[in-house]
Amino acid sequence: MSSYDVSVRFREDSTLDKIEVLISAPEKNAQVEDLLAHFSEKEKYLDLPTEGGRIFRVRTDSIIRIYSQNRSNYVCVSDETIRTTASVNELSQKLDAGGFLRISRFEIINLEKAVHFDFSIAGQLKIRLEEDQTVYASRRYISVIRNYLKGGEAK
Amino acid sequence: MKKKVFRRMLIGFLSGAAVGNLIALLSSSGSGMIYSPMLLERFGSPAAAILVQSLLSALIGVAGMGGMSLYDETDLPLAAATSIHFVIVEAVFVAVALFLRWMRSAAEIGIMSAMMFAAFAAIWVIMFIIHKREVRQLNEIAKEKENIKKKGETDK
Repeated sequence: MSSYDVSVRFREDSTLDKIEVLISAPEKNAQVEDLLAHFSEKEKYLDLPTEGGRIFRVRTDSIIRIYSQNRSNYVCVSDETIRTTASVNELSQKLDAGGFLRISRFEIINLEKAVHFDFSIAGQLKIRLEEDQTVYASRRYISVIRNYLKGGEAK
Repeated sequence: MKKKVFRRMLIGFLSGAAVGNLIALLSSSGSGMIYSPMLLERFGSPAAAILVQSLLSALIGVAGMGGMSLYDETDLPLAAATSIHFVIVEAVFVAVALFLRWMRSAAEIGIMSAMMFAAFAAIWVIMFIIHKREVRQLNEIAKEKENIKKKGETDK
């Protein structure tokens, strides 16, 4: 894996209303991933409101999937599943980068936690995630996932 | 999406009408009469008979081409998309074929339906193989990515 020298430049842009950091590199390698993680503070943690007003803070990179079932919403992390009062939609908006892919109205998965892909006999994309979790997605997501795995964005 | 579906239906409409009349011409045994005497009797003039035949043939084209959107414009599983497409095309085809007297006996309908079923089964098999291959590639890319990641961590 190549390691590149880093040069930092500042460009003034009065049209912006926030600080925007753009990382340009010949490839998306581990060094770039580190830099992205460094600057993407808000993606590092996700605050999950739970019943009773408690806030549960989880590392986003520990999230395996977020789903809705029987009108309740759950966030599945490496070692537990947390029931949250936040909707899948609300959580989706907070996870605006990385390997999170919304595969249906009720489910978001973290592609970084995908262990194996298969195509079911019924004709759906079968995704096995960590912690032995299996989800099914439309075959339309095959190209989206391929794009992500090749270094693009999942959404 | 709607635009794409509409475009497909339009193509289906035009090609269905053309193919319907072509089949009628080929099966006229050289007589050049591309409509059945029943249609002429029922609608009064050759022009009306051809118009009705064209419109009904076009319906089959609309069902066939429009139904293709089930595969790429919906989240339906492949088996469900293929089955629904088959049922739509089969229903429209049988209704039109009976009305236009392309088929008269249950045996003819049975043979035609079996052929259509075989065609749709072939579509399903081909698409299944294509998707299976694409998914195998996903696993290969993921494995490659994982190896690069591991190598990067080792190099650090």
